Amino acid sequence: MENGQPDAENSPLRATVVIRNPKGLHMRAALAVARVAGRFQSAVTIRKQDRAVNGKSGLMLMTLAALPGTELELEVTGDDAAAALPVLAEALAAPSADSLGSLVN
Amino acid sequence: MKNFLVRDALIPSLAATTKEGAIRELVGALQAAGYFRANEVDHVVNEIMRREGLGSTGIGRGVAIPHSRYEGLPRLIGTLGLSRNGIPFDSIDSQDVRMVFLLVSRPDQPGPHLHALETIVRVSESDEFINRLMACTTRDQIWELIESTPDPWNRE
Repeated sequence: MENGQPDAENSPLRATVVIRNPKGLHMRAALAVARVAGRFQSAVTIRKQDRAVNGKSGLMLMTLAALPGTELELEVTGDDAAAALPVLAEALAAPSADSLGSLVN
Repeated sequence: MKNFLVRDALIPSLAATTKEGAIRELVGALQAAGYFRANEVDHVVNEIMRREGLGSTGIGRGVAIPHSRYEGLPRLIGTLGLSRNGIPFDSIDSQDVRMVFLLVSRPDQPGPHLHALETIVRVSESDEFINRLMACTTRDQIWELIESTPDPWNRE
């Protein structure tokens, strides 16, 4: 980046994720997703339409009020983005907060 | 918040000093306001405590949102209790809780519950709101503040 050339490793990786939890992204689910995001060094942004929040903050994720069926855009930027993207996509799409256990630990 | 908080169940100064005590006091206030039968209170309190067992709903900044789902309600209802001395709640920031927003939602209506969570998280981030809320000493003062605070998601 210092020489003005695009840095492939820091290009954001993106995925669209649909909320499948029938209760939506409720408190426990949001806190669990944030905990998963916190395991990675990459910056994590989650968008719902024109609103974007830090995916490492469970409280900010709660402000999305993402209902079942909501499409969210997941954006991961950083050295471990390639590893983080599928794990975070799975966490966001989890059908229940309980099924997040293996990702959180 | 005026859409889900029950005015007659607001408690400007909780007597309880424990998490379960505060939850019982608030569910009791909802019962007294006509939302539960007396024999349903234990069940609702136990369900909320069971949820707390999965992870505290103390979200930091002195705020907690204990909650549960319950079949026998016409809609999402909630109430708010203020504690002058603070209540240990295992909050994420380890601070004692001074504002307890208790929610009971219908199992088939996730939307109102998610919007209520959003609203409470957003107002909790405002120092001005917290200061004004903690300055309230009567139910009427709390209700006046709630009525004058727009739900963030309603503005969209």
